[in-house]
Formats: sequence, C-alpha cells, structure tokens
Amino acid sequence: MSDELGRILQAHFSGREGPPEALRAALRQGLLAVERRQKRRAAWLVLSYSAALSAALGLLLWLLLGQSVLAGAVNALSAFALLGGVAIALACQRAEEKGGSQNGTR
Amino acid sequence: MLLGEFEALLRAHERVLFSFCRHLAQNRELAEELYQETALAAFETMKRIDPAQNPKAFLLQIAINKWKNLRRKAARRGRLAPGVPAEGRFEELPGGIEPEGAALERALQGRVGELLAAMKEGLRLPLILFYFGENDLGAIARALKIPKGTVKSRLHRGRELLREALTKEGWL
Repeated sequence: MSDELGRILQAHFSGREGPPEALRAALRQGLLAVERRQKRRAAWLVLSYSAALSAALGLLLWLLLGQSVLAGAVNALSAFALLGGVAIALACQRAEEKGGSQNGTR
Repeated sequence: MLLGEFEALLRAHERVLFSFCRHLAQNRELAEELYQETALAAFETMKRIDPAQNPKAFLLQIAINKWKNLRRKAARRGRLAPGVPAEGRFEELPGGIEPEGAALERALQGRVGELLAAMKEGLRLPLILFYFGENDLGAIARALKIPKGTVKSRLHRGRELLREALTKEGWL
C-alpha cells in the first residue's frame, strides 16, 4: 500500500461526493412510504392478534355457557376470526422477515 | 429507530455511501438507483442498526448486496456491459496537487477508472472495499462472504493486473 500503485488507488477512491438534492427529495418520499407501510403492517398485526385473542375467549365462553345454538354460531364466527387473525399475523411477520433477508442483513 | 433518527444517520454517512455507490456502479444513473435502494432497504431493516456498532459498514454491506441484484437487472436491461469505462470520474483531486500536475493526475485517474471498470467483479470489489478505506481484510471477507485468504489473493491479483497495465503504458 505504501508503493506508487497504492497511492494512485488511494487517490482514486478518496473522492467523496454527496447525493444530488433531487435524489435526496425522492428518497425522503420513499422513506415516508416505507414508514407508512410499516405502520400499516404493525396495525394489522395488532388487529389480527386481537381477533385471535377475542376468538379464543369466545370459544372459552361457549364451552362455559352451555353450548347453545346461538353460542355455536358465535363460536363459528370466532373460529373464523381466530384462523384469519393467526394467518394475517403470520403473513405480516413473514413479510417483515423476508424484507430483512432480501437485504442480506441476516 | 425513528425516521428522523435514520435520516440523521444517513446524513452523517451519505457522502461515503453515495461515493461508494458511484464506485460500484461507475455510472451516475445506476449509482443513484443503487443509493436509493440501499437507503430504503437500510430503513426497512433499521431495527438491526445499532448506532454504537458500525452503521457505515452495515450500509456498505447492504449496498454490495443491492449492487449484485441491480447489476443482474441492469445487465438484462442492457444498461451495463462488462468493461464499460468509468463515466464521469469524481472531479475532486487529492489535495496538494499542482495545477500543471492536475491534468496528468486526472488522466491517470481516468485510466485507472477504465482499468477497474474492465476488471472482473470478483477482483474489483475487494479493491474498492480495501482502498475505499476503513476496511480490514476480515471486514472485506465478511462483506463479500468469502474467506480472508481469498480476499488477500484477489487483492494481490487485482493490484498485479493494474500494475502490469499501468507499467506497460508508462504510468508507473
């Protein structure tokens, strides 16, 4: 590195240039879009876990309260919410993990 | 890390990152695309950025990974051909160069850019990482996911190729 070629290469790679203003502005828009998407995803995650939890509670109540026809219908809906909630939560988590692995950070 | 924090982090490293992208892509349009993709990907995975660690290395690592994808895409779109000479070298020259020497230095740096552009990616990347600064062999090996010994031999081969060409042309 101390030889002439080393000096030439160091000089070659020594220049530092910032991104142009238009690129900065475009990037800011992109970052805001990513932030919005992340917030939406987090909201879905909370919503789906809540659905799963309430469905589990519904099932418990149905078992405790005599298993009537009405309770059965409510339970069917609860089961549907449970499955949907878990599916959405898993999809959100997988999407987040996939994002990380695509960037080569894991 | 919030958007504001990430933007501050990016501002602190934007010159390094953008210059690195320009050296990787050797084409302003592609470099801008690469810079943008790198920053967006870093933001998406920013939970893993620990400012106490080395965020610059993290950003450069993402840039390398993104470059590999972008290169394939760009080659398919015909925007990148192997051996295309470097376009628009940085206008900055190292300090202390006399005006009469500047033209010669610029010509030399232009030629070095062309030689690097013509070099195989496997030899070019270790050279960029090594001479871009603050990268020891271990860090380069981790960034390129190759053994340390391979980094050493590729650096050696890359330097020898450059030395040979520059000596033949009378620059060295």
